[in-house]
Amino acid sequence: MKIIAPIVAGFIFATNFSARAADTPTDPQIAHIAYTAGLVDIGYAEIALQRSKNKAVREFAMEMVKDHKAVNDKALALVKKLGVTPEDNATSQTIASQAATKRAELRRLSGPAFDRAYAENEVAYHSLVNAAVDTQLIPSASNGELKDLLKVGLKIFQGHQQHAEHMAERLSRKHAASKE
Amino acid sequence: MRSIALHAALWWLLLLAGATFAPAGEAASVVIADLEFKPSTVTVRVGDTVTWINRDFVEHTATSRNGVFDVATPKTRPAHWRAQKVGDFSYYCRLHPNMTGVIRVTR
Ligand SMILES: [Cu+2]
Repeated sequence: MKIIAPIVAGFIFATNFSARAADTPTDPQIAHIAYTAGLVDIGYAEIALQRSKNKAVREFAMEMVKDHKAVNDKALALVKKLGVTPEDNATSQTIASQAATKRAELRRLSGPAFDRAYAENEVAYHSLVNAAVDTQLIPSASNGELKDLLKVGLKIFQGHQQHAEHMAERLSRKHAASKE
Repeated sequence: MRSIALHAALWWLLLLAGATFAPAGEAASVVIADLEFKPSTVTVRVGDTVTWINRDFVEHTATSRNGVFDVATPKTRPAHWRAQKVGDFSYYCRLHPNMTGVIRVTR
């Protein structure tokens, strides 16, 4: 039984980056994590805009670029105002490296298969990020304005998650119908 | 003769301006802030106009579930919808479906 524990811990580490932030992250680290998470979703959206011909998928991707850029611009303006320098950290690095793997996966797909994989990844990614923002970043943030921005950001990202769930559901229904 | 024509033209301009900038029977405003429609339920009468003012830093929509209206609510200017029939119109934001509200239209 003892041998299983490290394997399980390793699995959680690899699949859930929020588990990585076991120590309370500092505000400069929180800012870096939130910013990185936004950039990652913009990166996925850019792949979708290159590869997808589906109108709903393209509209969703354009919305992701706009919204995440808007949140990141707010975050940048805030850290500048507070005189805080975002600090790279293990959680940001885990997010970035997992995203690189996912991007490579998505780039191997095209057509409806790409659309479904993109939609499913958007659901999974937003649910992971939202859990981390909700249970790790917001409670750990010490500056009030940073906390408030994270709270509004969380509502925006929860909206994206629901939107992505609807999109994924419609795409998989369409796929099931096409196989009948 | 010329001054009568001028007067008529001015009146038309005023009427047009009135129609464009102050919708007749304007009744309800909904403010969008922190991803919420406030108030979440508003009641208007047939012919009244609902105005949404978006104070968030992202764009939203006010989209009725029954397909009667789909209004973009940009950050830059207020958006309007004129109620044309009686009923409860439940609506949401297409971009952030966690945002919901109801427009109640009475006679
Ligand atoms: Cu919205």
